[in-house]
Amino acid sequence: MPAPDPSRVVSLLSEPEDRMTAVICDDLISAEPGLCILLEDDAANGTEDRFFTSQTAFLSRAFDPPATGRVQILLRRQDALMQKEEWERGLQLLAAVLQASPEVPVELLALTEQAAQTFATRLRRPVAVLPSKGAPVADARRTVRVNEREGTICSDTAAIDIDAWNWSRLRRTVRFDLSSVQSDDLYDCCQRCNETGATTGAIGENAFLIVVPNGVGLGHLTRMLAIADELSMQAGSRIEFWCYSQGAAIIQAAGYFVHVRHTPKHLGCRVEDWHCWEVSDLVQTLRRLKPKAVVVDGSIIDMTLIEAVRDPLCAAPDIMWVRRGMWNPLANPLPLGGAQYATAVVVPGDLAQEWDTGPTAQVDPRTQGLSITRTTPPITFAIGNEALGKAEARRALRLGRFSRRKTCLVSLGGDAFDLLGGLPRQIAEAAARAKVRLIWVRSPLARVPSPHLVQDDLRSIYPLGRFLQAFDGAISAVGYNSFHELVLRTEFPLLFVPMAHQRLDNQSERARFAFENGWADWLSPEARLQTKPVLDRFFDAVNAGAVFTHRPRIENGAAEAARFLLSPSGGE
Amino acid sequence: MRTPSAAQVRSRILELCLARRTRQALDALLEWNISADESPGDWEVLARACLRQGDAETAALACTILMKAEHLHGDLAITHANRLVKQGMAGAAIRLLTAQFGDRPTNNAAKQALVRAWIEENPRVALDLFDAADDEPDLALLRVDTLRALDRLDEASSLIERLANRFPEDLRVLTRQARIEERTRNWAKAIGHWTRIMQDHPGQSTLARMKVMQLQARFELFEDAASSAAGLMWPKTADESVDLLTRIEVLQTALQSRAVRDLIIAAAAPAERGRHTPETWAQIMTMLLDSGHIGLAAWLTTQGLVFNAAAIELMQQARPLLGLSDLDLRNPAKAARITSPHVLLPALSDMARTQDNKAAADGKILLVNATLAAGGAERQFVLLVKSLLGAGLDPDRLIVALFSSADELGHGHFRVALEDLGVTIVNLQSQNASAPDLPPDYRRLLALMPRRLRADLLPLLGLCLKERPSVIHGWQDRSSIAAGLAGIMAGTPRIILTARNMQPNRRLLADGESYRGIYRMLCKAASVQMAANSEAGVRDYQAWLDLPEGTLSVLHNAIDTKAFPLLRTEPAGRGERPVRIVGVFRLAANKRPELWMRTVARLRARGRIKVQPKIVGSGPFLSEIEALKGELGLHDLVVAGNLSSAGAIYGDADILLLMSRVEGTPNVVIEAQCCGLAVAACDVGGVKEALMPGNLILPVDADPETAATLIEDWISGLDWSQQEANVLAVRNKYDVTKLADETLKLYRIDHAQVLV
Repeated sequence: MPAPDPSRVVSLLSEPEDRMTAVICDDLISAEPGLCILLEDDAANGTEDRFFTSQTAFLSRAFDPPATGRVQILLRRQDALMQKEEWERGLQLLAAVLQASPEVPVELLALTEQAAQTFATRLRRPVAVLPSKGAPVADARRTVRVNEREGTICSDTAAIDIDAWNWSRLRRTVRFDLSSVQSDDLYDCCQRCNETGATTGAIGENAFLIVVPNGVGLGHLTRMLAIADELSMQAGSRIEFWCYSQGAAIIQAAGYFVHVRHTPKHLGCRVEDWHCWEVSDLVQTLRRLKPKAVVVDGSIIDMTLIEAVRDPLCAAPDIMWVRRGMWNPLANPLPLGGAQYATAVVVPGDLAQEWDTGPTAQVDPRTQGLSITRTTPPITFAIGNEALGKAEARRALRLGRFSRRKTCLVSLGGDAFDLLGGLPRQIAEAAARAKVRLIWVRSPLARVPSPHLVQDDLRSIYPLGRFLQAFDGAISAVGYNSFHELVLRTEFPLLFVPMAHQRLDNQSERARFAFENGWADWLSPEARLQTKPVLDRFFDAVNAGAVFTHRPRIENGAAEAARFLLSPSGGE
Repeated sequence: MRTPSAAQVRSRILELCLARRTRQALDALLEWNISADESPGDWEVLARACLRQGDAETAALACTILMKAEHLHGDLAITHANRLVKQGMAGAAIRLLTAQFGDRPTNNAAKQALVRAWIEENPRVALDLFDAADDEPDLALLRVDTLRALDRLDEASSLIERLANRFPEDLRVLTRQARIEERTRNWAKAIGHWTRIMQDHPGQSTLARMKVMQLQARFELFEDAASSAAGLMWPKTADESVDLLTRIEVLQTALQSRAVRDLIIAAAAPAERGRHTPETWAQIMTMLLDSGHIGLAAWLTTQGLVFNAAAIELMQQARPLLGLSDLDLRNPAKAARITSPHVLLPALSDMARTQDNKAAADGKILLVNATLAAGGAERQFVLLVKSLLGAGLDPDRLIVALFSSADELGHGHFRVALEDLGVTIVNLQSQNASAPDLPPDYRRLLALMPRRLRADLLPLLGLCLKERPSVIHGWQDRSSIAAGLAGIMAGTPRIILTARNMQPNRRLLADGESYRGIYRMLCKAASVQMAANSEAGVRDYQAWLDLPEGTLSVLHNAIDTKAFPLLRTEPAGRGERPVRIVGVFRLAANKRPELWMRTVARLRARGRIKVQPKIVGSGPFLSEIEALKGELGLHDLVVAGNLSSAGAIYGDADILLLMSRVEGTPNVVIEAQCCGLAVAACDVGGVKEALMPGNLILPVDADPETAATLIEDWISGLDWSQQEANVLAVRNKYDVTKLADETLKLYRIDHAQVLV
């Protein structure tokens, strides 16, 4: 649908990195919903109105003839980076320019009443306060202090870089302790944010941009699809995916709009060049979509996203970081500091989380910035993917309706055959001894099928959970999705084979936890040299039709995650 | 392809030139391999056609080819030589002209071109080219330019005045008049000339307005400067818009460094950058490097806007020092925060930590000051030298280095006094700046320093490496910064930095912020000791530099008691004789002459005390003061200009009144008390410390009425006998031998070593 004609076009001209530009844009749009704001000079045609976000921004552009439209200048008091003399002389120059061109109508504005009075006295001209309108919302904001010298914003537990967040987003989340502010301009900025943050609110629409990284498996993608489905179902949200995963086609097949992206490694380009293009493209998408939040799943929040959401016209979306636990104890904890850029960290629950001994078990609150953390029940892919009955599932997988032999699923992950040495062969031999048919799952992302496999017994299955009833047992790696889908949705025998190479996934502890709870057998790394007894025991159980009824049954956490994303402060 | 015949070539070239397709004609000659050796005529046809049609670029190419073939003759050679001079290739122009016209051309145009070239290369040779009979205006103007290049400004001034009488409307004469007045600091006259140019010569109005604006800013007439700048902003039409370099200059003059940054970033935007020529970007790059904005310069190189190979290489070398990754460098605002010399301080700090003692055995002491201008700090500098010699130091051990001592610029006021002391005086400007044989690390650091600092540091470092002094002592901020850095780089074992005022930001010094980082780095070095000339100055610098208490020492001023004898012996205000109030200060904003006059006017208006005012000094506010005299009814106020002897300054005065906004330890307060005057002064800097009992301290923010009331009460109760006692106390406190003792202590030289 074409965008309606704007009621007014304004070219907004500001200093680079002026943290108030986003706040001003959102205030202008809140006060005048039909307003179209242009940020770059080249997009302007000279007839539109012009809004300068500071006298410095005005002075640097005041050498061309004045615009034919309305001219507004937001006057700013001295900030910490500007010498007093520079500020004084700038104001003097502005006054001289205005005096020399009395025929140009100029409206002078200020951020606060106090600043307006100061400038009115200095310039002997009327100075109004920048208008702002919006529906009042509950003011549950936390109070933070500003350390101007250090360039940080501090809560009771943590500090973030003063410009880590888009300030329009920041003001929705925090109130500033004005006694902590030293420079006049920052005082005005903070006061303005305090006064307007609870009334202007988010101007983003009921839309979400979901970022899927290029992970090892399909874990990120699966969790994000589960959450996307819930968001659509609960609130009818508009969803787009920004996807680096090779599984983009899966998302598209699920009916979502996908921006297929490439990493610099895939493109073979310089990271800094890629960064520029990526930020630019992301900004364009954010400006168009105006999402309420950008939801990113992964072990890091990429700088391109952090930079792009600072764009003044992207409606200041929240960054919601979906970051699971159970990182390997040897994993570097530094990436957890990415939380300083996030409004919230959503931790998809893990059945084994009480055995989490890695950095995610003891996150240092000082590294978490202003984010809040919400842990949900485990998230699995569910909506529209209800499990098929045994016959349907077998038919779908071309397994034949009936079989005298038991059928066992083997799902060891994308590159398992390269990584597990002789294990696939040992599994095949044990199955042969037990006369159990093996169906090997080939990940949609796996590049090289193993030469050990009979092609008839190879399936590319997604989502796995939908077809589990086709089997009588499963041997599986212990990634987040496989683990939870198998434990939460099956009763047949399970044998977990942890993939020890995963830096950020402690699969061994998950498998051991399942074993200790009697939910599954496991092949510990120590038992790899003695696999025969374990495999034989497992296949005996499969052949015996063993049933495990005491495995937990928990609501899918995707619903709670979606509720939280739709209203982060609602449950607080 | 078959090469056409000579006739075909000629007719084709003529045809293309007539069709104004000169570039195509050039391509044709190159394609056909028509050499200038064999067919100079074709190339000459092309060159002349280009010049007629204003295609200077192709003309220059054709002339260069002709020149290489030694077939560039006559007026074409002169035109090309003039172009070479403009492009900074004066040497090539000289070779071309002398080959064609000899060393002393009789052809007038050739002579002018040769003079222009020699002015750039060696103005003394240019001056030799003139004959006594050279009266033709163009040559006379060139003679003026030659004299200017030789800093012989008095001669240049009288010559241009004679020309102005003959050609009063000539723009070239007016421009030179204005520039000479600027150089000789007759700023009011310079403004007058530029204003006339602005009004009478529309083609030069932008330049003239810029000049007026810059001079007004130097006068501290900031509102006037802002009005002049406003005349270049918000033009009526796009045609009237000034170019990018002028915009930058306007904003720089108005101290709008952040707006300059924004302007450059906006101009470099992909949609805008094509509007500016490579030459413009080259000039911007030079400007950024000269002013220490190396982060922004590095960003411009990443944008592909810098074509100067040397600048690109410099930036490549600088990258490790910038502390920015390629990713960071994409962000111009972030890059712009990287400035020199700050970014170089860690490397200099390492140098200070690891440098060995490289002093020679002869124990020389190198004293550094900017100039010997007629100022209080300069007078104190001469007294310092005198005091050290008085303490027994051999004159051979003292070397005085000055950045300038040119009389024409007013920098040589105390030179004779210093020369009389028999010490070695080195004018750093005349040192060969490229002389020091420096390691590559040093050269790289120097190349990345702001131009002004580099210009100070390079010759001083050369001198340090040559003389290898045991002590280097910088006097005032500019000299202290250069002396400190030179001392660190040269391994001088003792480095003394002495401030003679309050910290630079209080005095609105343009380089204040860059000094801060350097001072902080220097003060951490074991070899460095910093001092100020008052307790207040010490506290002020320590607070500004975030240094712990006790870091700086006090090095008091001294007074030459012979030059300032007791002059006032009678109590003031007896009978009908009025109280004679003198103000001795430069007529500049910092000294608040208007407040001084309004206070005196209020004092007189209150009627209890008869006053007779006098101001000694000169400066940019003279015309304002003259105008204010009438408004305030101070018709009898004498503004005496600059006087030098104590008798002339203080002889007919009872009270010194000083109302400055910023002061260090004002010499006039010490001198006036030494001569027996009572003193009333605002409480700034080290004034309170310098005042003896019974004198008056005024609040710095006092309005004229408050100040007048306080002064009236104070004069009414003045105990003049106390002032006589004060004379002895002042002489004792500011004794010259004390200055020597304190200084030698800073040098860590005891009296036994003095005589070594």
